[in-house]
Amino acid sequence: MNDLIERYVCDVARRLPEKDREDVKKELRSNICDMLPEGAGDEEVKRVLYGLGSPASLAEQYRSKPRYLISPAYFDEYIRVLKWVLPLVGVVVMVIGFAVGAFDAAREGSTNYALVIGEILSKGFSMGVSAALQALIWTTAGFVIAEHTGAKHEKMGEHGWRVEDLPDARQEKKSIPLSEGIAELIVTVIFSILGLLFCAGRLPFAMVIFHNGLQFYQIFSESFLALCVPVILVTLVLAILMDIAKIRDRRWSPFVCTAVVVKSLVSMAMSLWLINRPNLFSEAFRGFLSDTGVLGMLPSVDGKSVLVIALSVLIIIGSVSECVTAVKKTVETATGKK
Amino acid sequence: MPELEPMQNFLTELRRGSLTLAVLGSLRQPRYGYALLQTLQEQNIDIEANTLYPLLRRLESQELLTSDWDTSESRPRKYYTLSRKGKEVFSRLLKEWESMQASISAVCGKGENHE
Repeated sequence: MNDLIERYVCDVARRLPEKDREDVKKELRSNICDMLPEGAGDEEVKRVLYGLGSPASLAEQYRSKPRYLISPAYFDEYIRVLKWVLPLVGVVVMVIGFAVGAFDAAREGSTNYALVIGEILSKGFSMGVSAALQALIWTTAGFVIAEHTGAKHEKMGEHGWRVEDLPDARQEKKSIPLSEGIAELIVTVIFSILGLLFCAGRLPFAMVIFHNGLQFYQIFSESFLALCVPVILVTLVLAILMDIAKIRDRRWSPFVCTAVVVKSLVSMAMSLWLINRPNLFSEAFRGFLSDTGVLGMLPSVDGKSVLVIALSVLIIIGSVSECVTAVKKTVETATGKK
Repeated sequence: MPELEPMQNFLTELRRGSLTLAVLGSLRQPRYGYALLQTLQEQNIDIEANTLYPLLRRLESQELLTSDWDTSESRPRKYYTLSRKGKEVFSRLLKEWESMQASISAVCGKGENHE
């Protein structure tokens, strides 16, 4: 009978913090013995142990506060982020996966279309699912870290919450929801990783085009791809800083505004510099373009293709409008409070 | 009966706070876990062993109880007693309990029939 008691006691104790274990074991052993009549048999022991409940539930009672991976205070935000990050990342990467599958199939030159379609679908789904799982893991990790470093508790102040944090009923856009920062962070990280894989030649878009049957070229030049890597890394670091600022302040503060402006201006400058360099495309691809006459069809100004100019203009418009929006929201927030 | 479960929840909620008071009150003299459980149950206080033992430990870690292992008998027993802090907390809780009882009686109408 002592064996059953000992097993029960140990099973409770192993769920408790190290320092409490020996004490709780000693206490429980003594308490259980007290509850048993003299010379009790196995049946009596079982009755008492069932009366105490499962080891897990008893250990839960011994723990002073309930434990959470993500506490109710964060859970709503967590679900809100997952609801749009997972489908977004999953679908985008799935589409990329379809393309990867298609290019792989094209490179192998297979004519068995059922097989090709099967491969394309399986590539897309497997990449989509694994990217969604990655997003799930990183989102969860982000929230768990926030939970345990107490990002929110610090903000709460002496009352547990702050009147200042209440969203503006008329103009909700002044505050930045926690979900926005975390979601942006995850999307940025995942797409930066895809970008880096692309530059490293691990994604096939870099090297495949169709031409009179199938030929494979590297579209971009080596030097361009090599320069892309630091640009992506710098943008990634700035974007992470910007998202941390958003997560920290949760409203359009001057700090957040500065982070957004710096990030968009620096990444704009770098992208412009990058695409306006002379050796954008690989020699093979340029050769293909001039062979097919595509190059001749596109007008160029001062030796620059219209495509590059149009893209530059788009980048400038995008970045400048991002900065203007940020400044406008910050000014609105600042003046609205006064 | 569908009403059974909410009823049980109401009762649990209502009893939860008063358990601490009952435990503190009965530890003005030293008692060990199982003896305390029996005392409480004899007084028709609805408490289970798996609630009481962890509660005792918690109250001890909050320094409301002091404990002593008695090893003079055949098997060791842990005796709990109210500490000085425990006595203060107990008397304040008891006062609060009494005033709450008075308020509840006043609000609900003592002895009146509400049928």
